[in-house]
Amino acid sequence: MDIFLATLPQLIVLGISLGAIYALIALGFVVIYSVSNVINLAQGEFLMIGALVFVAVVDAATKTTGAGLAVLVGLLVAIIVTGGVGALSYALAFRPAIERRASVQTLIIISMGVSIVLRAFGNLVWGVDPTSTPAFLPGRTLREAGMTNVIGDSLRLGGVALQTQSIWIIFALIVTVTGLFVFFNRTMTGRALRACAMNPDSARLMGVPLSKMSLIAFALSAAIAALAGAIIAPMQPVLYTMGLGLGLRGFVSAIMGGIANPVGAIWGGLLLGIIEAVVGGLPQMDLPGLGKVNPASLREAIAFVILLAVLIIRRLRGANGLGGKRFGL
Amino acid sequence: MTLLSVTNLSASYGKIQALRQVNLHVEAGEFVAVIGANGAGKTTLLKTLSGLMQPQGGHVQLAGKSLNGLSAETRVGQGIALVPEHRQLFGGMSVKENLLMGSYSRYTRAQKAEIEADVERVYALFPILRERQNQLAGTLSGGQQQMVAIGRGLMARPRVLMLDEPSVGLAPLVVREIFRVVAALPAQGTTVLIVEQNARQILKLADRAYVLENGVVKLEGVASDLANNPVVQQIYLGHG
Repeated sequence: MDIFLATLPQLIVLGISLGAIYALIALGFVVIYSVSNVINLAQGEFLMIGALVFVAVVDAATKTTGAGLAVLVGLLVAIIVTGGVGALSYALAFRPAIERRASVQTLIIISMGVSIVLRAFGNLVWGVDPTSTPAFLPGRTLREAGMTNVIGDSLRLGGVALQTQSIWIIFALIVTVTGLFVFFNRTMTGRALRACAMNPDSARLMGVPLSKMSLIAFALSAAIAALAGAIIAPMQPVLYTMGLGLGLRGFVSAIMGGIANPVGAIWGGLLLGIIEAVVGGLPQMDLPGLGKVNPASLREAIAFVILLAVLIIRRLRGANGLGGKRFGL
Repeated sequence: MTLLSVTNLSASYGKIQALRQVNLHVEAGEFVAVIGANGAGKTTLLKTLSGLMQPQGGHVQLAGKSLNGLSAETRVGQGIALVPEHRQLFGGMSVKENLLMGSYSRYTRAQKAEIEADVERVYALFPILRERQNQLAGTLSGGQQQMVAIGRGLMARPRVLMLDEPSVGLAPLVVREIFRVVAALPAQGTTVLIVEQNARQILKLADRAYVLENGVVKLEGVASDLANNPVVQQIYLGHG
C-alpha cells in the first residue's frame, strides 16, 4: 500500500495523459452527434487509421528528413488523410441513409459497418504485426523495449516521473481544445456547425446546408481522432485492432459528459483516464469471499462498469449525462 | 412590380389538407398581411414559401424566377427570408452571433464591414439589442427574442421578409413597438409578408390583406376595406 501511495502522483499524471487521449476521441463523438445526430462507433477506427498512417509516414520520412521533421510531416499527413476518410465515410455510408430519414439506431448500425470496413482495411494494408514510432522527444521507445511495456523516456519533476510523451499528449489536448474553441466561436463555419446542433431548421433558414455541415463534422472528428492516434503511437502498440478499446473509452467519456457537451466530454475523458490509471496501480488485495484479487486485472472492465452506471443514472434522471450544458464550447 | 407570386399552392400533412389552391401576390414595397384563425394554414403557407415544407402542387415565383423545388437553404440566398413562429433562435449563442448567423447566406460574398454595418442597422431599429449583444439569446425576454429573430431575418438582406405571428405571447406595448418597426420596413426597401392572428392591429398597418380559412383564401383586399368588412368584423375583430 505504501508503494501505491508513493506512486499515486505518477499514476494521476499517467491517468491525465491517458484521459487526454480519451477526451480527444470523445470530442469527435460530440461534434458528430451534435451536428448530424449520428453516434459514430467508427471513431476508434478513425484513430487507428490515423495512427497507422502516422507510423508509415514517420518511418518513410525519418530516413530522408530526420526525426523531428518526420513527426511533423507524419502528423500533417495523418490528419489530412484521416479527415478525408471521415468525409468519405459520411458521403458514402451515412448521407444516403440520412437523406432517407434513417433512425438513430440505423445510423449506429451503419457506423458499426464503417468500423468493420476500416478495420479490415487496416488489416489488409498494414498486416497483423503491431508497430510503433519513436517518442517525439528523444528517449527509449516502445520498439527498442521489445514492444512489451508502456515506455518512453521520462523526466523527473518534483519526485514525479513524467513520460515525455505524456507531456506531448496533454499539450496536444490543450492546443486542440483551444483551436476548436476559436473555430467554433470565431469563424462562420464553426458558428454554422453550432447552429445546426442547436436548431437545424433555423440553420437551414439562414442558408446553412446541413449535409455539408455534417461532412465537415465527420472530417473534423476524424482529424481529431487521427491526432490522438498519432500522439499515442509511441506509447501503445499500433495495430488494426487498437481502435476497439480506445473507441469504447472515448464513447464512455462522451456519454459521461452528456454526448452533446464538449466540455463534459473532456472532463469525462480525464476522469476515466485517472480512474483507470489509479485502479491499474492498486496493490493486490485480499477481498472477503473472493480471495486474492489483483485490481490491475480489472482495469479493462472499468469503462464498461462506468458506461452501465451512467446509462442507469441517465435513465433515472432523464438528464444530459452527469450534468452540464449542451454543445456550446 | 410583382415580387412574390403564389399560384394554386397546395400542401398537406399526410391526409390532412392544409392549403388548397392558394393564390396570392405581393408587390415590391408592399406590406401584406395574412390573417386567419388557429389551424387555418398560415404557418403552413410560410413554411412552404420558405422551403421548409414541400408543396403538393402549385407555383411560387420570386421576381419572375421560379422557386419550385429549391431547398430552404438556397431560397434565402434568392432573397426570401422567414422569421419563424416561436422565434427559433440559437439559444446558446449571443445576440450578436445570432445576427451574424442571419448573414450566412451572403457571408462569403459580402465584405466584413458591410455585415458589421448591417448589425449596426439592426441595433438602430432595436436599440435594446445593442446593450444585450453579448448576452445569450436564450436568456432574453420574449419581446427581445422576437427583435433578435426579426433582426436575424433582416441580416440576410431579403427582398421579401416573411414573419410568422411575431406578436404571439408578447405584451401589448412590445407588440406595438415591433409592429411599428416592421411596418416601416417597406419604405426602407424590404417588402413584408406577415401572418397574424392579431387581426385588429395588423389591418391598421398593412396595405393589403388575405383572410385564410381552412387552407383556402376566403377574402382579399385593401386592409382598411377588410377591417370594415362585416364578416371580418364578426369573426376576426370580435364586433357584434
